[in-house]
Amino acid sequence: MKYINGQKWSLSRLFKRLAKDNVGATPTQYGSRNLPATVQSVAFVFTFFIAASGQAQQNPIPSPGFRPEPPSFHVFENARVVVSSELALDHASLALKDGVILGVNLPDEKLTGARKWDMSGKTIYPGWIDLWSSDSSSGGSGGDAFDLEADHDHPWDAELTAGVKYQSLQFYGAPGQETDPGVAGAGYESPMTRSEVRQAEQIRPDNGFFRQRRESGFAALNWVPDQGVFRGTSALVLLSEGDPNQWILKSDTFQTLSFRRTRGSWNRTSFPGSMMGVVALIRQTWVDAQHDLEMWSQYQEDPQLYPRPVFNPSLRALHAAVNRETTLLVEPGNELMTFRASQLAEELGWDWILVSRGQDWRRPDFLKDAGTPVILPVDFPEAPKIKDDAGWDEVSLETLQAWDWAPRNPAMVHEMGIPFAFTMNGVNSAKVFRKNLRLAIENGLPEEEAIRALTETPAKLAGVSSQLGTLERGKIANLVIVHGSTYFQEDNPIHSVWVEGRLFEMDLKGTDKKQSADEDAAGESKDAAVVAENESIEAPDSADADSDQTFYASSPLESRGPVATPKSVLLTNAEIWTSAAAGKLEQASVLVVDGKIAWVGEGHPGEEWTRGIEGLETWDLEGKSLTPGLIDAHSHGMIYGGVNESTLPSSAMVRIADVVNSESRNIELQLAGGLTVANLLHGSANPIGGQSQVIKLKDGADPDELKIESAPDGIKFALGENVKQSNWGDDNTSRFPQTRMGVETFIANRFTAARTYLEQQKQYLAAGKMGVGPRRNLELEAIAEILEGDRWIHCHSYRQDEILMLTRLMDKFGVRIGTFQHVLEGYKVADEIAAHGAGASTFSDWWAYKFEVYDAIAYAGSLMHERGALVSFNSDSSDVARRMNLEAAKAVKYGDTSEVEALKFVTINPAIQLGISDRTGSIEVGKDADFAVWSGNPLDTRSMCLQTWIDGALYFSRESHEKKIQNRIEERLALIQKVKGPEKADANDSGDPSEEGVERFWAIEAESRTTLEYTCREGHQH
Amino acid sequence: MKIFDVKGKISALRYTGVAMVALLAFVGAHIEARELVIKGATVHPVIGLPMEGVSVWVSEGKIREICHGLDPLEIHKQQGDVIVEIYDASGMHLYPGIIAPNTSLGLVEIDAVRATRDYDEVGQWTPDVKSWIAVNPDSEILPVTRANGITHAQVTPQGGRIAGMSGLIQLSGWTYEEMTVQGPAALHIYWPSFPGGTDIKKSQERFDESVEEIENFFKDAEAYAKARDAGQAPETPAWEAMRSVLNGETPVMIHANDSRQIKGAVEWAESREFKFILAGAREAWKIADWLGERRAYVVYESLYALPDRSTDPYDVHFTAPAKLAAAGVRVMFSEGLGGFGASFARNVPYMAATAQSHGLSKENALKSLTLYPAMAFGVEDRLGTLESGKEASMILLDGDLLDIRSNVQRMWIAGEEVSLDNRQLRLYDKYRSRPVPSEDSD
Repeated sequence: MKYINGQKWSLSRLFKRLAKDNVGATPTQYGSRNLPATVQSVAFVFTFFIAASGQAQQNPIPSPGFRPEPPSFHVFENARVVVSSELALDHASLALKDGVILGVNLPDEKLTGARKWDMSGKTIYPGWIDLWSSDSSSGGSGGDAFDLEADHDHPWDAELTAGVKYQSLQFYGAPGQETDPGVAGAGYESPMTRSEVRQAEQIRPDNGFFRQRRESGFAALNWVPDQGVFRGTSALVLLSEGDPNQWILKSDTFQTLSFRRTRGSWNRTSFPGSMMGVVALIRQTWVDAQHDLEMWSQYQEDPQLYPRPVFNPSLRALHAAVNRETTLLVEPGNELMTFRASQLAEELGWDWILVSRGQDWRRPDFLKDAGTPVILPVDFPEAPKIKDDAGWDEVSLETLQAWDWAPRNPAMVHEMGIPFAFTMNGVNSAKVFRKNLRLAIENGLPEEEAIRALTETPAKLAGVSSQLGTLERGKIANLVIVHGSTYFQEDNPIHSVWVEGRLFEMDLKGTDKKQSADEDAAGESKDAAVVAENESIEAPDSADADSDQTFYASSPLESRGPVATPKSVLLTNAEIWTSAAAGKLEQASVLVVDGKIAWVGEGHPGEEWTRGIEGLETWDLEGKSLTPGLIDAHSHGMIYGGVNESTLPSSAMVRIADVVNSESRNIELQLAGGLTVANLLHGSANPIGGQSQVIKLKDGADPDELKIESAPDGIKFALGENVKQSNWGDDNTSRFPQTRMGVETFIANRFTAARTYLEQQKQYLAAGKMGVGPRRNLELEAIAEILEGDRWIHCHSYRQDEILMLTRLMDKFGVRIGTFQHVLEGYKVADEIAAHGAGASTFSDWWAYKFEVYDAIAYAGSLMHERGALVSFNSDSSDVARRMNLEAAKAVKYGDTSEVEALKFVTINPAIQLGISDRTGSIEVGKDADFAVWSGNPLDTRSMCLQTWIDGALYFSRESHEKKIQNRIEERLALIQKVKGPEKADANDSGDPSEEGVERFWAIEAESRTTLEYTCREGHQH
Repeated sequence: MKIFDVKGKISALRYTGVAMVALLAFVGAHIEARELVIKGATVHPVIGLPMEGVSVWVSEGKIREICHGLDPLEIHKQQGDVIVEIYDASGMHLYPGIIAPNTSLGLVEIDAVRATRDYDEVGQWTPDVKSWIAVNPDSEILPVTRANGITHAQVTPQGGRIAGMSGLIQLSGWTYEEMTVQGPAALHIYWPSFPGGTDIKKSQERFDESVEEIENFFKDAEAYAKARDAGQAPETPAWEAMRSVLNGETPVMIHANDSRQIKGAVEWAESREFKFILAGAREAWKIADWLGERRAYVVYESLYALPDRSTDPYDVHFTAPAKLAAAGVRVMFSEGLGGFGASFARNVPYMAATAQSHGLSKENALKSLTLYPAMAFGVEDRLGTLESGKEASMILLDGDLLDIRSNVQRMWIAGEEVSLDNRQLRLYDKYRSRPVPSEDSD
């Protein structure tokens, strides 16, 4: 008698394994949640054994008229049996009975009565498992929850909405009166939080979808809900047919969360309307769930002592995840948001699994930081057949890189030591799925790892490895049987798929020509017994790729980062514009040590300064000009997923910090204009906008490394036409405010609310934190920080009356405004601005694009400066941000401001406005070595930026940029050659690319196009 | 004989309302025929080298002579009893006025206010739409634009395939008629865009079909002309408008950006032997030599816009004009059309300046602002350079025209001095003189 893995499985051992596996499993949400985990496990185990021994699948004797059930005892002989990713047996037999694996190579006496199958030349695997499977046709009722019109049709629904009107006053600010998004029944205040949805209750049989998945070898999948942000719990189902009660293996396997929101539900009035809004929603939902859990625990302790918490099924459903009893499946949508998901996981304490979109190769460091198992898609892009060279001109480098990297992504993830499971999500045909797995293997993924990612890993992650994942005795008889020696060769037809011992025929004869030829030639199997011992099956047409030196796309990170990082450097012979008391220095030098300015002055620092400095390099600037790195106090250039959370009049809870786009090409482009610092601001769609973020343009750094941590927190406010929706079209007339009167009313209201909120928090602290504290309201919390002086207002403004209004209003609340932005009529109230102490960050010469800027004048900066206000010029445009020096020159032109003062408009003055002047903005000893080198006077139109330095590292030079571009051009051409393939007569044997692959080819760049100039063109008005 | 000798203490004149009023009164006062002599400036004729310290004699709206040491008494002798204004412009620079091609000046006041937008008409084939008759002579944007040295502008209609006729206007005059220099100046064709996608054959076919539609329109126009002349067709305004294009009097301005679009457009225009001007032309640099062989006129739009691809260097658009000019293309600049096509038109010299810092010769940079637009619209006999016999449309600056820090001190259009006062200056003066409010203004 042979035993699997040479081990004898005892009942007690099996018990132990089951108990272990099941610890992480969630009991039903409303049911036995108070039972200790061990009791639940035991209960589960008994159920399982009863089922297995009694064949409780269905009544074996259906009524007349139904097809009678076939016998359920089978033995497969002479097969190659892949018991697990690490053990494959040749000429083995596998027996199953009543839907359960009986064993491998069992003696004949145990097989009496079994139906015998000759499986010579075939391979048996454990059935594949997919953890991230969704199918819109089964998505349930999702659609109408987002249809705002529904409220109008059924006004009484609005009465029943999840308290949107009332609760939203706390979190979301005041929504429009007629546009409350609501869901019938109790629930969270945002319909995008649908954590209470249970897929097990939504599932409808979908034989077509099941069949399609089985054709690819799947026998089980984890079905995830597909609406909203928090989407509810998934259910693990067996790909059988008939009664859902039968084929749901486990409910509530995971709570699911997607940053991608619901497909196509973008709506201006439905929060969240931006990526930062999505993150804010996730954060608020989570802290609400934590609070809800505490409130209920407290209440259950003593209902007479503590207040009764409200019933909120969405928050209730998250208790298990908050307690880390349920794992979260998190789909960030691209590599940039993968980074953010990791940070959130840490902040909020998630137990989570990352659902990747397959572009991890762009930033493997982000994936590594996540430190969690990952679910990988294999919907690789396929290059279209482009006949014409001119056609190839349409194809960008990024698209080609994505095409080249996609099949290497799984191997890369494996080599990083990160556990992963495959999903078929995004792929619609078995052929493509299998081909892409083969490609992944050809690109370096060991075959046994591919098997593991389809079986053991997903089983383990879903907590069902006692039931699924291998062909060990006692497990559910899910099998995929292929003709030939491997599944990972799409020409080998699938013989059959077995789900819980039930046969689903595919191609029992294996009619493929190629297959029969293989069989003839193979004769006795040449396959090694154990796949794990290094033999992976070589795909026939991969031979070329291995022998030739195949060209591969570069790693995107290779061309990122500084181009020179001297430990210390002395720049000599420069005209230095210090933007400090020293003014302009001729024939001067600046000494940089460890990223800081150590000495600056005319001439040379001399031996006493330079002696003993390790690795000091000297750069002769040959009389060129050196200025502080330029600073843009108003940028939207490095923001991902929308610059406006325009759905609500107050979006104080959204944070630009959550969506800093470290991957934007704007960084590279703006560095080339001498820019080193940008204040990333929320747009101007609402009176109280989102929280802002000051960054340094350190190309290649991660989003958090870009941030200047010491900069005071900021928040965008806005006044005037944009916030009262004047230019939004005629339909937008119901959101408060619609007038400048209402803007004041609204802001006063939120500040009063925040003051009350703050008092509550203080009272709670003063009372010694009795009981559970007040709910955290992230909107009011941000406004409260303004009241406390910890968050600076940067307020978009145009007309003098509104500027004065906010000044007076903030005076009342004891708040000093950080800056007025744009402030085009600021020159009319310059004295008031100066007296209040606000900065004025304006445009050089923009005007007349809307009514409130008709009185804008190009002299405004100079005039405000003369009247004592602290003035900067900003860009509000990714393209103007590349020539801030020329904007400064306009102050010389129009307002007769001196050149030295004018340069301060884009250096030290914005630094002061942003609270970072202790670090940057001037060339002074002790400050960060942030500067730009210019071919001539920086205010002369005819000069250009030659170098840009940040923290003593050279991030841009004309030469390095030119070289970088040259490399990209060459790489692109080489990739085009590679896509086209060798120019042989038989070059077309790879066949036509699949439609879905080509679709992906064109879509993949946009999906991850973190480089896009998303911001200023879309949904943003100045 | 009366001789006014205006001392060139210009900075005092720049912003002080009093001096402005004096100047206006002075200008307004002239009724009699009057000669003007500008002495001592560095004159940039655009064709030929700058001349230092010469005098420019303006008579009857034209440049009569540019020479060294012109004596007003000489003028008196030649002209009899006339008033001679002598202006000492030592240390300053005299240029021809800037001609801004491809703008929306006068057709829009405040872009966000629909009632003030007049640049975009409905319909695909509207050659009988004329832009210059819709120019608002009192648009506040015009004087602001003028203050940066722009004396003339092409006013471009938008909308449809053939949008209509643009006019060349001067930025002064009591009515649009007085402002109109050339109307029509060009017929505007918005060339079909090359369909996206990589099946070039299919794209080409679709593109060719759209081009064919244009060609058919022109064939129909020709047929109409013949039929009408033979009394066989009723008078049709749209077809009538096409006549001046068909007989070569009016050039076509073709708006195209993609290099294949541009090629298609140029080949079509050449097949009809039309004089053409390209506008937009963002990818013209890719076929610079091809365009250079044709000595094409190209209005390069949106020089500052971001590059499209990561394989384009950051300065791809900054260097494009130099590449085009080196190949022989006559490059001009435009801030584009629509909302910012009026309020930003004043910045057109700085686009030329940025192109200059990226390789465009100073000579070509100057021509791009003056001579080339004049040639493109066929008015080079009147405008575009400082030469005797040409119209005295001139600007006097305190520095290099291509340096953003320089300022225009005086401007003449057709010999008439034009005020540089404008809405922005007035607001500046008004609020600069606002008294400091008392402390308790709350």
